[in-house]
Amino acid sequence: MDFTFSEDQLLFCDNVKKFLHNEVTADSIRASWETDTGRSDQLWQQLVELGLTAMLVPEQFGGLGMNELDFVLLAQTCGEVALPEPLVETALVATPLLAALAGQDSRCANLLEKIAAGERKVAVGHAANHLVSDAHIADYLLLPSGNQIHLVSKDDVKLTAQPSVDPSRRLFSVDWKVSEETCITNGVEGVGLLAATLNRGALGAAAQLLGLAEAMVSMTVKYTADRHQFGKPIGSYQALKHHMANCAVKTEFAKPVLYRAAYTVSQRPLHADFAVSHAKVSAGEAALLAAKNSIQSHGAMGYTWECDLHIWMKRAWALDKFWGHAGFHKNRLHQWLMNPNAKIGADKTFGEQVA
Amino acid sequence: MSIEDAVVKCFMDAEAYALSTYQTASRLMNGGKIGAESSVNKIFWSELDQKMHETALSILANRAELLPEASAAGDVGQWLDGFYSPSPARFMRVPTKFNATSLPSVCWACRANRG
Repeated sequence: MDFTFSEDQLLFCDNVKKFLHNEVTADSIRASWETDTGRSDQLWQQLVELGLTAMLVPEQFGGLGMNELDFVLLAQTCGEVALPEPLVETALVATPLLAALAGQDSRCANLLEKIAAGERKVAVGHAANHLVSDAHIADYLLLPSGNQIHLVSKDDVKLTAQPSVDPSRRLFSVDWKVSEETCITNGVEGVGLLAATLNRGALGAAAQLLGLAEAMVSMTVKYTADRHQFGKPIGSYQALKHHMANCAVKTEFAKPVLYRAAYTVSQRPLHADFAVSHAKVSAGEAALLAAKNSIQSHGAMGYTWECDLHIWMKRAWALDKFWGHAGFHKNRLHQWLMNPNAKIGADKTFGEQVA
Repeated sequence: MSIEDAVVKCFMDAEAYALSTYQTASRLMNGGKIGAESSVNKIFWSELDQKMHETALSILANRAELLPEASAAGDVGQWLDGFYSPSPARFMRVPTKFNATSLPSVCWACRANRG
């Protein structure tokens, strides 16, 4: 496996990164908290124009036909800027699920085209998450019921807002009635798609967590270089330096794990569980440590509402538990490791992991 | 941390170390240069080495303290040896010393990278 991203992938990510860093700032995020929805239609349309909602939509449905590996750097960037808009959930989780059914279900095909074009929005529910994020701005909701997945119109659900520690997160409990008409998949296919959805959700959360971790380290390094005590920048003292170095070790070693997970989801989706769980655990640990050490290095400042750190920190706390918490993913890894057929060892890193 | 947890953690970190090495190799093969990862590597690997030995000793329980020459140690005595033996041939005997010297260079590399 070649771990370097292609020129095209890097260039695309770079352009999106510049755009997001310009448009999504601590100020714009704070302003969004004061609005009803917490979301900006204008920003969403810009993301659509950049082709981001269409990235994983197959070409025959008006998309770009790209894969999870093409998207993973962008998901990381969404974390870096703490983007409130549900781009990762839409592009990495919802559209691949609809695409899997688009060939057999015209409702999914139509919706897919409209999402790619920015005319419709969709939210995804899953048993791994008790609540549905961004349900309030969705035209349709993809909701699980046992082995089934239902495509339900916003008119047929009752939403109750459930405030999160992160003011950017908009979570809802959803009241709805299961009906045969809204069922788009069930049985073995439903189980498979729900499992694939969990892996994509966890991959997206892991990528964002890594971006959040890097952003927190970056702002803390800047703060500790600017702030002086005893005539020197506080960042020159080992007590603070080591906090950041420990974060750097965590994030650097979570990166190749994340990219292997994205590769495995795109190339061997049925064997991706262990790779995704590994990425989710590693990225979660990196982000939680970055949050903890950053607040420590900021001193009492870091605990205040005025200091921007909490925008990233609270997102990290939330995403660490989103799409399966660390215990859930460690259990999956443990079960896989204890499988007598698991192929473990340096020469098995890229092969079929289970016989 | 339970033994189960520690084993999973060791596996994850060993795997991450392998993947990270491939990542660096891929970059070098594509004309890149080695950077702060050599310092980050040193910290990660020395801590992983300690963790693996600690985990092995936890699994061995009562046998963990046996020297390699103890007949009851069988073929597991090398774990203790790896954990603490002062033999200069095993350079990882002093992992904390490695950390102390490499952390500041990671910090500076980090700062340089992030402007």
